[in-house]
Amino acid sequence: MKKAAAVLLCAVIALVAAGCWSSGELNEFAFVVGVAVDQGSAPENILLTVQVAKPSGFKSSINGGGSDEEAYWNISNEGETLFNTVRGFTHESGRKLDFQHNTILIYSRDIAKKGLGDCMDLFIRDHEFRTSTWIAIANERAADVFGVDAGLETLPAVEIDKMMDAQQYNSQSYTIELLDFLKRLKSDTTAPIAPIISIRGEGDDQDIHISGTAVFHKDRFIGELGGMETRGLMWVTGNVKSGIIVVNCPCDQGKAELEIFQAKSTVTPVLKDGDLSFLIEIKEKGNLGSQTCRENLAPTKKLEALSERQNKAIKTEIEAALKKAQELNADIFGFGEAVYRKYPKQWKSMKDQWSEIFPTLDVEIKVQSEVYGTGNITKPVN
Amino acid sequence: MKLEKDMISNSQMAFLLGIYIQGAIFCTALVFHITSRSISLISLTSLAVFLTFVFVYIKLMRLFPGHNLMGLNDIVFGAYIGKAVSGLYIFFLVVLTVANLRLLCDYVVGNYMVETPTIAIAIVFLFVVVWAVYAGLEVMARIGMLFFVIVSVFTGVIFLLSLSQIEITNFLPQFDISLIDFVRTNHIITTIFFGESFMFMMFIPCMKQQNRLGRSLLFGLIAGEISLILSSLMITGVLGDMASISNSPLNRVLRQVDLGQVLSRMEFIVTGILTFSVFMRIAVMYYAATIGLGQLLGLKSYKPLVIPIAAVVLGLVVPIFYTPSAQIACGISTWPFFSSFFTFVLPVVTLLVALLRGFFKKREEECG
Repeated sequence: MKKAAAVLLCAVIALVAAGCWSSGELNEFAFVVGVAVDQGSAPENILLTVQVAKPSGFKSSINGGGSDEEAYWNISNEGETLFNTVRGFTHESGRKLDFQHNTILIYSRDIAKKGLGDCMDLFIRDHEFRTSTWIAIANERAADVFGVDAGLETLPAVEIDKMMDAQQYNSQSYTIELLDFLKRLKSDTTAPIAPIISIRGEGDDQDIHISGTAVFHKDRFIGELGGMETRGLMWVTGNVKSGIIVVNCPCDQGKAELEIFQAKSTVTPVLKDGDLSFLIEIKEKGNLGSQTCRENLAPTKKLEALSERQNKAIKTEIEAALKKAQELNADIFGFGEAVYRKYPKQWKSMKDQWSEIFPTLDVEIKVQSEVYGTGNITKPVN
Repeated sequence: MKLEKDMISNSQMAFLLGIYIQGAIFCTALVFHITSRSISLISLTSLAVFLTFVFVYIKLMRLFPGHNLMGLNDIVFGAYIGKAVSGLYIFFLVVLTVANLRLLCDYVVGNYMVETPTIAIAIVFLFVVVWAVYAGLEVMARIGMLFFVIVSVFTGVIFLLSLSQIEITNFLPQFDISLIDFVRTNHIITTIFFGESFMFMMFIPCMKQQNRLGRSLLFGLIAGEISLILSSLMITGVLGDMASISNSPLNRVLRQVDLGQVLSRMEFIVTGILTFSVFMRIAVMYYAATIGLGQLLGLKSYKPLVIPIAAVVLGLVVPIFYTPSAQIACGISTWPFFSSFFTFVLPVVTLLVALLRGFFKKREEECG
């Protein structure tokens, strides 16, 4: 009797534990890999485009089988509010959209100028969305980005995902996940930023291009940083992982390309006699990656001369970023937060005036770089 | 007369307490709604405050050796008032079980099985809890040791994996909170995370080496505290101020954590593992309520009460809180005061009454 009861109990548990209410089969869902938000036809409307992975379009790597159709389906829907628009996709798709595997969230510049707040809540609130998703601003219509040939990948959204990862090798785009964007948005003073994504070329020769950084005041787009300014920002925030710095050779008859492979920054607010200033210290280590001049750059003195030029180049990039940020009155560096961390009591009186303090901040920049190696050769080949 | 006949070792008691404290891991949202930067340090001050009450619990247990909480109520307050006080404790233990079960159900429903009714999750979970309670204290203590090790290892691994996303700046400045918020946060952690372990007074007489009681409790508390510190470090370090608007900050952190591009989206597995600790927490509460009621009613065994109490718990689990947000709001505002009455006020009053009625002297005389 006891055994029978135990078996019955197990059967009931197994039945219920399978999650009948929330169960779902793979072929019931359309897996979204990218989301683009554009301005709709009416001013109050948004146009939502999603890229859905289409398994039947994937070619087999063994025998080259599979159809010639695209491995993705871009589908758009327009509406006044985000969630309603998302659910509206079922008017056109036989499968319910699933956003668990979404990799990128792209907003058009128009939407960004109006403010992202209205088109963001769902992506944070709903359990299907992940805050580890990339966020980017499109120069053109965001939906168009998903129509560009994917290059090495089968899906354009996956290609963009990989490109976002690869930006660390040039450090000229500040790639950012939704969570970090939200942290900046929630900060009282730090300005949110996002990389800019655009389409280059025309017709069949179109490519996706990621470069530069969009700058926001709260949730509204107010300006952008170029590639050099972006790296200036990244030096300060400590996000430079790699990249190439091009400087003149010591003889000024060609260029030397220096590869960054280690960088560290320290940002110190200094409050002296009521005056606030900042000290930015950058330590960088790199290699001589390539040269176009004929002189041998391996001797220590030449490498030191290159280091000097590199110091100036880094300082110029930081100054450019700082100038642009102060012009835009957008604290993209998180200086306000740094003051709060070091001087929490004094910060209370400064917080409300930060928009007046930041544009006139005095910032001292100290760069100490080192050109360490010369690669696999000790003398130039020419 | 206590109903529990099983005896457990001191280490089993310590691990059972450890896993019980770990089970509060899903309650972290409560304190992050007030402040996020200083939770790890505040949890240390809360532990220090709670240790003073642990002294009260130990004193009571040593004053009336062989008697559990219900037994000593009868001795200190007399048969009638003692039973009324015991009844209050049982009421609280049942409500506590319901609240913790609801918290777990809301976590599962809110993050994973959104279309599943809360009651369905509660039924499945309660099946397992009932099974554990039927098996008795010794079995629960043995499982507790195993679960403690598993949960600790997983917490440690997740902490290590999240290290690359932890930003030290999210912790600074420390203690930049108002005195009221500091006290509130301390109060919540002291009551909900630690204080509700007062129910171990129901099991302490079942511990083999009573002379090492303090050491066992201290070990359990510190072991549980380490897991709580690690999880709060993760939440603050990864989410920063975003933790304050999240219904389940722990889940948000787990969703951020990947092992490169090899292992990602593993929050479901980790949550499943962490649920072990909540299972033990609820089982311990449930068990304490069951043996307490059995003792109050003068039954020979607690087992006939297991199913009726399960029915009560299931009946209350949905209506107890209107929404998950209502539970968080209650957890921040009302619950710590409600809980404090049972976890701190009643035990202290019991000790004072025992002092006034001369039980301290009697005990000294007995011990010579």
